[in-house]
Amino acid sequence: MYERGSKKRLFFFLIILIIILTVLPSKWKHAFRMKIVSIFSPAMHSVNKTTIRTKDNLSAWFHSGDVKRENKKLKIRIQSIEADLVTLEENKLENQRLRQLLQLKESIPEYQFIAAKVIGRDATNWYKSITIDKGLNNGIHRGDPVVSYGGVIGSVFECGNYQSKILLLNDNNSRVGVIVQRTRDIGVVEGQSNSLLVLNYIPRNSEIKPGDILISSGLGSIYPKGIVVGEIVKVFEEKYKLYKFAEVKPAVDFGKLEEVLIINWHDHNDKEMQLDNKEEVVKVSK
Amino acid sequence: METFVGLILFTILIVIQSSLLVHLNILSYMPELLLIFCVYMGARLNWYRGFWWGILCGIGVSAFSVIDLRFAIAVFALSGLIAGSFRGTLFVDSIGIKVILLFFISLLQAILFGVFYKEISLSFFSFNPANKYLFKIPFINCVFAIPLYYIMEKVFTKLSPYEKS
Repeated sequence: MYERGSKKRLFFFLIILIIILTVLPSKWKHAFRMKIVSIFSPAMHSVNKTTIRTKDNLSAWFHSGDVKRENKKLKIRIQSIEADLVTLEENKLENQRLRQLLQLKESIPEYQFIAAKVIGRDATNWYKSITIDKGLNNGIHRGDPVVSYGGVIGSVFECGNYQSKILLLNDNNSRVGVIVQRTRDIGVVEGQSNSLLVLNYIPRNSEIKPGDILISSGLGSIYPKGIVVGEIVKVFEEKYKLYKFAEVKPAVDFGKLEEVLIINWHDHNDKEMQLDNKEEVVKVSK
Repeated sequence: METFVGLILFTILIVIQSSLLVHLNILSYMPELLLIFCVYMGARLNWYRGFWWGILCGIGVSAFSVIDLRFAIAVFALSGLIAGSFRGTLFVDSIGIKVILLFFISLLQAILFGVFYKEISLSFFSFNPANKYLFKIPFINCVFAIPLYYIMEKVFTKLSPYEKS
C-alpha cells in the first residue's frame, strides 16, 4: 500500500519536474545546467587529471627506453648547440677585430699590409715580444713595422721562414719617433716594460698636456708617418732638465693582441728608391 | 726514465710559459717556470746534470723570446750549476730548502738580466724604487715553485729515489 503510494508520488513529481523544465525559459535552463556542472567540476577535474597522469606514466613506462634514447640524443644536441654558440661568439668577435683592421688598412692605402695571427708570447719577464704565424716566405722582413687597429705595436725583430718575433713597443729596447698631434712637437717614445710608455726629448717650452695624441713622425724610417702611438697621461717637468717628459698610454692593449698587420715597408722603400733612381736617370738623360 | 719524464715536463712548462702565463700576471710579472724547473733538476741531481738541464732551459727560453741565445744559455746553465753545487752541502732534499735556493738564484738572475739588459745601475742595493722588480720576480717564482715542487717531488721520487750526494 505504502510502496504503491510512494511510487505514485514519485511519478507525479517527475511529471511536474518535466513540465517545469519544459516550461522554464531557456536562460534559466542554462543556469541550472551550469550549476550542476559547477557542483561536479572539481571532482571531474581531479579525476581527469589523475587519468591523464596515469596514462602518461603508463605511456612513459611502456616507452621508457625510447625516452632515454631521446633524452641522450637531446643532451648531445644541446652540447653541440652550446659549442656552436661559443664558436659563433668567437667568430663574431674575430669578425669585429678583422673589420677594424680592414678599416685601418683602408685608411692607409699607400702601404701593403700582411695580416698575421699571434701564436705565442715572450717566455721571460725581461722582454716584451710576441710570435706571429708569418715569416720570410710571406714577405716579412726584419725591421718591418707592425700595427693593429688601435695603432703602433712594434717592429719585426727576428724572421723565420714561417714565424716571426715582434719586439713590442712597451719593451725597454723599443723607440719610436713621434709628433704631438696638437702642438706638433717632436719627441721619442720609449718602452719601459710596463703598461705605460715614456715620451722623451720634448722641449721645455712645449705646451703638451694630458690627453694629447701622439702619432708616429716617420723620422728614422722605421715606422711610416701618421700612425697613432698613444695618448699622454701625465707630464713631468724637472727644474734642471733640458727636456720635458711624459707618461704615455699606448693606443693598443699589448696583453690582448690576437691579430696584427705587418706593413710591407721594406718593399715600399725599395720601390720608392727604384722610382727615385728612375727619376734621377730621366733627369740626367734630359 | 727520469730524463724522459723531465723532457715531457720541460715541454709542458715551456708551452704554459709562452701561452697561458702571460695572462696570469701577478704584480705585473709572471713566474719563470723554466727557471723553477732548472733549479729543481739541479738541486735534485747534481751540478753536472743541472748544468745540462740549464742549457736546455736556456735554449727553450730563447726560442720563445727575443733574448740573445748565448746569454740565455749562459744564465740558465749557471743557475742549474749553482743549484746542483748545493747538493750535499745543504738539506736540499726538502722542498723548503729548494724554494729558498730558488729565491737566491732568481735574484742573481734578475740582477744579471737587469744589469746587462735593463741598464739598471749597479747601485741596486741603495733601495732605488725602480729596482723593486728585482725582488718581486724571485718572490713570485717562489710562490709558484711550492706547488710545482710538491708535484715534481711526487713524480720523480716515484721514478727513482734521490741520488746519494
